[in-house]
Amino acid sequence: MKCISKIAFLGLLLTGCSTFDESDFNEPPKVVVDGYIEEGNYPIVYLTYSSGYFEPVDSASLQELVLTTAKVEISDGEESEILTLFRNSEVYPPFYYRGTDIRGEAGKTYHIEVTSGEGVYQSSTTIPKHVPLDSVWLETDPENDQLAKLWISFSDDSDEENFYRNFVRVRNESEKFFPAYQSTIIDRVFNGQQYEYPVLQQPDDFLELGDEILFQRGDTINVKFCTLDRESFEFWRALEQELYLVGNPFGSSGNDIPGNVSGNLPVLGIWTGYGMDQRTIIFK
Amino acid sequence: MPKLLAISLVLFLAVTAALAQNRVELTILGENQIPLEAATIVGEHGGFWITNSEGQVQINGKRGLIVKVSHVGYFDLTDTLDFDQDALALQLIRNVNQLQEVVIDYQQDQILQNPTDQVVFSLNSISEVPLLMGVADPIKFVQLHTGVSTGTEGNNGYFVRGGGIDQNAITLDRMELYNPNHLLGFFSMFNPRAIDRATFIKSGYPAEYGGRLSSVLDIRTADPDLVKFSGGAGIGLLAVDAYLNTPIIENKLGIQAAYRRSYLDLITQSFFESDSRIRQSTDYKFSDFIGKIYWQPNEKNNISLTFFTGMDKSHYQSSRTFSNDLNWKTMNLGFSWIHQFNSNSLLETYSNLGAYNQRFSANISSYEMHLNSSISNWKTGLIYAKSLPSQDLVFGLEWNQRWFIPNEVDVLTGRAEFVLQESSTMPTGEWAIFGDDWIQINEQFKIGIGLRLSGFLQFGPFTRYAQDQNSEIKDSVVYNSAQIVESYWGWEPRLRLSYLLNPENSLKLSYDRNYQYIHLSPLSSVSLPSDLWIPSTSVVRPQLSDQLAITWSQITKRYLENFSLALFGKKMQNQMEWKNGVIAGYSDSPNLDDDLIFGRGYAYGLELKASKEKEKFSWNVNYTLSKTMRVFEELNDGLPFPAKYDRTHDLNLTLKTELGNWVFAGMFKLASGTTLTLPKSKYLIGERVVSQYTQRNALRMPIYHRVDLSATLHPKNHPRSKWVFSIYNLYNRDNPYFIYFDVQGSVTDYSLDINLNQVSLFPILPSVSYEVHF
Repeated sequence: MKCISKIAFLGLLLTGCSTFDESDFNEPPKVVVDGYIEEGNYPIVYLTYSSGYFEPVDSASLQELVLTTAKVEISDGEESEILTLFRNSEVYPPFYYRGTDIRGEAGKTYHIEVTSGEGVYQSSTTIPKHVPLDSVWLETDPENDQLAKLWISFSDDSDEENFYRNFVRVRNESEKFFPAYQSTIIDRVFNGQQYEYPVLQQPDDFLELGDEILFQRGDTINVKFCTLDRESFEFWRALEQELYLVGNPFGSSGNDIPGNVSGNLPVLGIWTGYGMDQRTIIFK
Repeated sequence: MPKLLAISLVLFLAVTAALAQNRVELTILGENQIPLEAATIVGEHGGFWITNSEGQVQINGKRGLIVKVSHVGYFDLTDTLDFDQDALALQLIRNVNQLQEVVIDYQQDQILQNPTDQVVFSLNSISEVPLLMGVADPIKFVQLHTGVSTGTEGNNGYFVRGGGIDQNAITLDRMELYNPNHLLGFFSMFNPRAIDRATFIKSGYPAEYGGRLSSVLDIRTADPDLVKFSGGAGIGLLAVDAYLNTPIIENKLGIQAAYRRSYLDLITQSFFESDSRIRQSTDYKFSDFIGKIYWQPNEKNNISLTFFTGMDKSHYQSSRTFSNDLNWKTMNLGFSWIHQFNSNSLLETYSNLGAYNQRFSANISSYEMHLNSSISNWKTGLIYAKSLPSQDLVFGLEWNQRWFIPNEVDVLTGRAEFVLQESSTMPTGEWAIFGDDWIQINEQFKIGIGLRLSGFLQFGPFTRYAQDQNSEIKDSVVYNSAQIVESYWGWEPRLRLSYLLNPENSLKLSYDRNYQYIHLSPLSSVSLPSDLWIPSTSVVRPQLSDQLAITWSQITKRYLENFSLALFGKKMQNQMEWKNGVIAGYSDSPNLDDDLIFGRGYAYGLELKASKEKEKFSWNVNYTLSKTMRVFEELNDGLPFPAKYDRTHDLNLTLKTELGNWVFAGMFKLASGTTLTLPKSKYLIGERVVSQYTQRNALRMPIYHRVDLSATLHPKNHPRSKWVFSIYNLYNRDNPYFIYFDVQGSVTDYSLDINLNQVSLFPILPSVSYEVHF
């Protein structure tokens, strides 16, 4: 009997140990497309490479992570244009491809083709017609009059399934628009109705929300209210859920995000068309 | 199936005719040679007798029949009946104090229940195993067995031979329970003061058990003492408890009540400022109550009514803009009437009601979300048991009607309320008819044949939405109230064979088929509100398992030392997972079951048990080597992948020794880590880091190991009291509860740093508890 338990014990020590091997977290880099075309604006495309999970992202690795030598071509079925590489050190990656001719129009479908070395990657997206905001207002926090919540109201179209996404920019803080907290909305519960929705800023930590999701007195707030197609909506919703779930032991983490870009080599990413309405409000 | 029926019938007839009958009149005596009424005698293969007012009972059986005699207030006694005399008296020893406690070791019971994989244990036998916070918890005890693996640290969810948490039936006096756990599952709602015994079965199921694929934990409350008043109270680190046991009409009617409540919240919620961090993060309370009325109008009848309730309530507020609430509650009322026709046949009639509700609320700024889930049920059944010489027959039927509200979600945006998920109740019914015969063919060979026919009905009102490829609703089918929406049924054959090679060695074989008609959607390995119970529907088909198990056991020196080796293989169909990326309650799909995918599972393994019992010292080793796999077309490219809770190795070692007034016990656990999926590479979208994952469950958590110790003191001058000192996780091992990647810095600053972090739940935890009985 003693012998058996000893053997079992030894077996455990030999085979039971498991540590993570760094090589489990590496794989050949893939091209990542992050592009969009907004109603009334030129298309913008960021191209990067995926990297091993533990590999750092710093100035030294920049060259390996950003793709600056690709040919990016956009067409709307009638016209086509090759995008130009620009630099903007305010964002990451600091290089992006932008058009100078074709601007987004509601109802049109836009194709993208990215060529880099031997890889050719394509996608297409349609810009749905935009839904105008009925009103935008601020509601001062009952406990702290220096803070406020932003509300939007819009009238949903009852004839079709609508997908929405909203972005905010606090002009005095940044030149960039950021997706709002839980930025994706589907009209399933309010189809055809007028709907009021609070727009919150991205929290620092998805698991613990603080006052930073509200706006501060003195802020000049731009809100972009966008419509998008189902494919793009699924991508952005999955992405936001994933960001929420990473590190959360109670969710079904471990999900790949369903991108809409395909190619002759493995590729990741999204190409989204947005219908857009925009408003500005100042918290005086 | 007709073939099996025919074989069983032929066997049954042949055996009935062939066997000779032995009879003995047994008298059970208590203190001062007083005959004990209502002592229960359990035969080794399920025979059951109760003594009359003279303490007597007639027992028929085979020479060498092993019986266990129990009576409230006395230690259980195990003996062998040789039938070489017509009358026999057995003397029970009064359980006056814990000092001379002769613990009824579960291995002995196991032999009694030979040859299935049944383990019967009394709560006494586990009170000295070191347990978390010193709480004697039947579920924690089950987790030490072979073939049983745990999910995350401290959690009461357990996985038996490759099955999921929902595949374990947990019943209290035949009442069905869905989440009988406190503190997010760290220990169970069963107050050990009110529990008499529990039976754990993982294969070789008698036909009366069914409805779940992987195991049964059948817990029974103690009957109140009909002669003497008794009671007690205890205090530990987490909770206080008290129990009372009193006759109302001597020898006829008695009641028992046991109550337990946490007290941390009472302190923190009264003595700290309302905005203090301590107060905000400790607003948690739980309580449970078991009450029983027991009426024995005459020697042939006993009637009991059990009431059980348990609740947990927590409120967490991290800032003005974020709070969440988590509550769950179970409430059950059960009636049972056992009528004894004569010393070897009885009829049990039972009927019970249950209501289980869980509610989760999150409040983010003025955006509020509530997620409700509930099940009510009414279960009733009849069981007729007859002991013939060399045979034990059981027949019965059962009906269990349930009303599910699986997932009611509503959202409040400050101005308007929206119902995201429809809240209509789903009525269902589950039925079963069964017969079981446990036959002694000859001195060496026993066979158990059981057959269970079970079925399930889903009733209206119900609406099924049909969607097109773009998930747009195209059509809907509406079912009216009481209309049958879907129905299923199936045969569940059971077979148990036992062959005694020689007096010390035996071989056992069992085959079981089980159907399961209700399912827990398993989002994670922790039982949480995100896990919802759902019934079978036209999309969710009943789970089905087939299990084959073979065991070789060796028992030497009159049960003091024993060893067994078991091999099992199990196949499970219609296993369920959520589609990738789903968060329960956030789904946009119109049907409840749209986000589920189905596949199969299989598990196989080897289990070794060894134990030795001496007067003052005993040890016990349980080791399991197993593999649990899942195959889903939509996951992992359709290739088999290990289940989340697959642990290759699992070893549990317990030791116990007595020294004077002290009982010392130790426990060592060593197990492979559970599997997990982690990101293997990352990419950037909109300055956010997005992960790409490894193959499903391709990695393993670090190995799990831990030592617990306990010391129990029975003070000499206060023999009715007891101090329990225990240390959980003696050498403060950081066992992983979960692992996550911590992303620091940002890409815009060119300083993104990712680290692997491990969260461990329980460091070294000393605890002390005191209890007193009168």
